[in-house]
Amino acid sequence: MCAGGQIMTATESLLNVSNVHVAYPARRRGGKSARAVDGVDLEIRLGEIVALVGESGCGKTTLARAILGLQKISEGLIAFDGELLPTSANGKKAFRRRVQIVFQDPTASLNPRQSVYEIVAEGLRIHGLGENEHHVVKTALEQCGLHPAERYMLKYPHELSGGQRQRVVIAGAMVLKPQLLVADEPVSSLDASVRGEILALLQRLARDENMAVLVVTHDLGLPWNIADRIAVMYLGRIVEIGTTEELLANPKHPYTQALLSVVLEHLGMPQQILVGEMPDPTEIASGCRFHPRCPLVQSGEAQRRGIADRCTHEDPLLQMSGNQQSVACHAVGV
Amino acid sequence: MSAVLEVRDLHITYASSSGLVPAVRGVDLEIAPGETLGLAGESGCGKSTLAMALLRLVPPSTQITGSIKLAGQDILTMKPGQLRAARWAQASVVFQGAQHVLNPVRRIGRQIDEAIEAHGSASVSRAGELLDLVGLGARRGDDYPHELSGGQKQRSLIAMALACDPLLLIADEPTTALDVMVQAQILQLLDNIKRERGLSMLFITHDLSVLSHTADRVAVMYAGRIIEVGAGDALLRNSLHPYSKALTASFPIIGDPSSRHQPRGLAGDPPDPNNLPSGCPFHPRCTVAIDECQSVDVQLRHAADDEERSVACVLVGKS
Ligand SMILES: Nc1ncnc2c1ncn2[C@@H]1O[C@H](COP(=O)(O)OP(=O)(O)OP(=O)(O)O)[C@@H](O)[C@H]1O
Ligand SMILES: Nc1ncnc2c1ncn2[C@@H]1O[C@H](COP(=O)(O)OP(=O)(O)OP(=O)(O)O)[C@@H](O)[C@H]1O
Ligand code: SF4
Ligand SMILES: [Mg+2]
Ligand SMILES: [Mg+2]
Repeated sequence: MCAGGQIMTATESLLNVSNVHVAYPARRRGGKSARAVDGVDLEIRLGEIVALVGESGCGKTTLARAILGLQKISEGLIAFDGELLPTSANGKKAFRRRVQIVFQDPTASLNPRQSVYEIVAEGLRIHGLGENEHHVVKTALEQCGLHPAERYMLKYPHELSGGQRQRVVIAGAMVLKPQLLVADEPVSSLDASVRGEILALLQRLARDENMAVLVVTHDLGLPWNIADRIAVMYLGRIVEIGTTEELLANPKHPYTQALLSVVLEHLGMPQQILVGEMPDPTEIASGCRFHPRCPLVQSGEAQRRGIADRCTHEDPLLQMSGNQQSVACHAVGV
Repeated sequence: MSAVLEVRDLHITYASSSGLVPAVRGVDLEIAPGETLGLAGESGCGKSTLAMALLRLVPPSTQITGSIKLAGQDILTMKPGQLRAARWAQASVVFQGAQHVLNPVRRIGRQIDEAIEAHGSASVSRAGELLDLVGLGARRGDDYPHELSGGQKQRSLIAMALACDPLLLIADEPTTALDVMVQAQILQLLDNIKRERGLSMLFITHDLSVLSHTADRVAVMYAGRIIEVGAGDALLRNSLHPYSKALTASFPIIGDPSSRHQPRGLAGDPPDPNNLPSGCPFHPRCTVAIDECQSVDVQLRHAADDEERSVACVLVGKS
């Protein structure tokens, strides 16, 4: 139900991730494998911005890499625009044009010996889209806020600020007119003042080009700024997903509630600081994977509601709860 | 009570191969006993330089002028022996990106004891007690740094910084590389320690959202100067300098409709310390600049309607 009067329907689905698992082999002989992504379901629709949030090590980057076809999955299916991720060389090449990535550290993703022009033109050349190259590069740079483009084209990455470098990376992705942009922590290495500018750019590009964006972050302010929906990941699984407004106003999973309580202290919510460090994907707890840290279990609330046994023995599935919200927790609806 | 730290007209200029770099250009500040001052500003504005200079931890070729009084004693005129005594015992630093400061081949507990011994105090090990205090547990004293997570390393550095019961703790981006939840744990820890021990703190960060629950007062730096200072909550809620406004706006308040789908930042590039603009150094990026801003470099002065607040902007506080 956007301004144009179009109605979003399920048929506008662009990416479908279904029961995807990624396990990294054990580092030591006899050790256990790391179940970094452990049964993820996720749908991304045409033109929407989805934020994937969760603490360090919960599997966000691994999931993003799997979606890009850069990481082998051990179970499950990933479909893009109705077709499974390609395996042939030609199919992969075509796919890599339609799905682009932006990483956290722009400095690491730019070749220091290439000029800005060459960096942006490279994708065009790889995909045989060299026609009108100068014009296309110029347009992309200016669209990304680097104008006049001539001032930047012949510069090298070290001559640019961090924010300008990230714009160059985004311009290099945009020349290919992708349908999906995966941005892994695109602003976390940048200064606060630059952050807003880059987010505004991503939002504008998504709208103008009807490009879907999956943005990985651990900053909950970012989705409030730009995302249509938020997916909360915990230890390899999406434990809650919903529209930004719904999820931030009414978080239902105890993990989401704890995360929000530490960043929303000013709203007078009592802080629920979870003890312990990031949990270990080689040792995922039985039952609900969050139960060893769950405040409901620790406070005895789960016991009172008669779900404690299920929390420790039964893996909760992601279930609809609310308009567009889904939650994986036995306490929801009890 | 008199201030724990009192800095007057501090200028710090690095001598680099490409010439002099005026990183701090006239800073005044004080911190009262038990008070936390938050220091914010974008990368390169001089926050770490200021922090390091407080204990004269800058390269020897660096020029420092002005005065720095720590518990009444002038750091800048101290003899090396006195200065060594002041480090750790009067003030200690938890460094930015400190994970690398730990010696990889020494046990954590040993490193903490060494810090204490360097000052000839305490002959018995206090490492266990300090590790308990920071919530790591005395047992972790036998661990090597690589056996600890980022948050645990940060806790052990805090333990080390507290080893000689300093009056002032200087924390330079102590939570920047950490996860939100671990960050919350460390902030809570610092807050408890500060309260229990009446510690004063200089808390440096570029993440304003962190300051909202740590700092009693907040100072915002731009191009080597403090351009706004005031009571923490009031400043974060209602900043007056156009730069502080842009900085606070870039941290959205979740739930605030005015920032929904409205990410805000600050256009333009950070100033080059070797080539500062004339007048107010912020004027090239300022959206409300007037002609005067290109020529007049306003000093920090009281804002009319908040007596705790000082701002360096021609448009604020002019009577
Ligand atoms: N190549 C690898 N081999 C083995 N384990 C790995 C590998 N890469 C990641 N892991 C493990 O998989 C888990 C998920 O890692 P991932 O990088 O996907 O997390 P993340 O959510 O992106 O974290 P961060 O916020 O720190 O970037 C972690 O426990 C990590 O240690
Ligand atoms: N040893 C040095 N020699 C020469 N210039 C230096 C030196 N250390 C820092 N600078 C310069 O001094 C200025 C201030 O640096 P400083 O590290 O104090 O900034 P900061 O505010 O702490 O930034 P950040 O948020 O990135 O830590 C910068 O322009 C920096 O490049
Ligand atoms: S299922 Fe049980 S343990 Fe898991 S989050 Fe819900 S209440 Fe907590
Ligand atoms: Mg990651
Ligand atoms: Mg610094």
